[in-house]
Amino acid sequence: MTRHDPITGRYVYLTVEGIEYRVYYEEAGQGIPLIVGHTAGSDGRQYRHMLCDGDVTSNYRVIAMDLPYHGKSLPPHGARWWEQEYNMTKARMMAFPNALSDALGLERPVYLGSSMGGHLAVDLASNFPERYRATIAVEGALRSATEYVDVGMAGIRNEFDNPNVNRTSIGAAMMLNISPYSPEANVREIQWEYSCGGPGIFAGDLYYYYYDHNMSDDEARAIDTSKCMLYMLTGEYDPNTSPKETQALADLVKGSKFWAMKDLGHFPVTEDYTKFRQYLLPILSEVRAGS
Amino acid sequence: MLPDQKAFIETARRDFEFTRETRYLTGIVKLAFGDETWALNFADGALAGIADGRGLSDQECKIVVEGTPDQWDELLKPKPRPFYQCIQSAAVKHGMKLSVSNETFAYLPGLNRMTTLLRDLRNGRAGHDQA
Repeated sequence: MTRHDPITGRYVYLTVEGIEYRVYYEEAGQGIPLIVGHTAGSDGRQYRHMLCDGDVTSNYRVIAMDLPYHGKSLPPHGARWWEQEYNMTKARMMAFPNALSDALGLERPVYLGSSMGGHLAVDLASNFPERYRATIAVEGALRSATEYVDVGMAGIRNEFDNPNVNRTSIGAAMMLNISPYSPEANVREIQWEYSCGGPGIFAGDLYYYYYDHNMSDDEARAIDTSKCMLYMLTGEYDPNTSPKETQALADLVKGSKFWAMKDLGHFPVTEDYTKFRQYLLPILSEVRAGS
Repeated sequence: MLPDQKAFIETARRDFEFTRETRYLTGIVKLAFGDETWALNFADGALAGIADGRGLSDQECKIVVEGTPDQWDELLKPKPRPFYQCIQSAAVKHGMKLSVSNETFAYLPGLNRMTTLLRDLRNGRAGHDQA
């Protein structure tokens, strides 16, 4: 008997900041649209377990996009991208899910993102509450942990965009973000995905993750959860955005909800989806009940 | 506290992942455990042996990892507490020392594997599963 995952993939053309991108996305399920965003330097394969979870896809149309330069989304064909350094910005990060939502005709989707996608969930709740019925920040915060921010982009490129070092090392470096309780096969899959990234892309994504996402206390206080509910989930083994960092955000956003996730790290969706879904499913039920 | 040095050498030399991820490495990897220091000597990817590394300057080494006995004790627990899951996170969050060099970054896969082997030996485990 032939086995298939219930996932289909397509390419869609999105224009962002005047550049047309051919963007790959995968989807499964029917119901409330749920856009899911991957971590820096990786791609939508991180969501393969969620896309196959019938308890999610029975009520949600889950859409996992590979951002341009990631996974199966190539750099833009019509632009001379090789003539400039790749750096992801906050404006561009926010524009892609908005453009995808418009292109697919989605009606007030939910956005869930992890790591830089987690930070994006916070930025979307702040800047586009009319577009999203709720956002779910996985490993999101006001900003990333100081020890890592202080490294600076030069230090980041020295480690992650260094011609003396092959990309296996980027995968190896992700061990710092991963819980020792996560099954080794899943850990190796995360490392594999990171080792497959395009040259300089992980480092360039970190420009948004460490620097261009930097929310003030006042901006966080102004997030209106009656328009766009903000949920937060953070793994206890995540040193980049630890539960302490997320708690600081949760304390400022009236009406938001936050859970620290035991035995999980920075990549909970892939590290151990069976544990992650225990936190996710009640949130999705609550969003559905309020829709 | 420390795993047996001879057992580590034997384990490392026959471990597929460790030997693959240290390929082409020539030079010294210094592991300082408080007062005790191991100097792992590599020659074209092969672990030639471990010498007493006390008195060895960092400049003479390709990679340096340093910690107090307590820090190593936390790092080598079967399920370490946050953020002792690896040398890098223990360095950033708990004050262990890890050199910053091209070799350090290039051989991170080997350092991770070394940590797993030390952890397994320390805890009397022959297996390699992290779960």
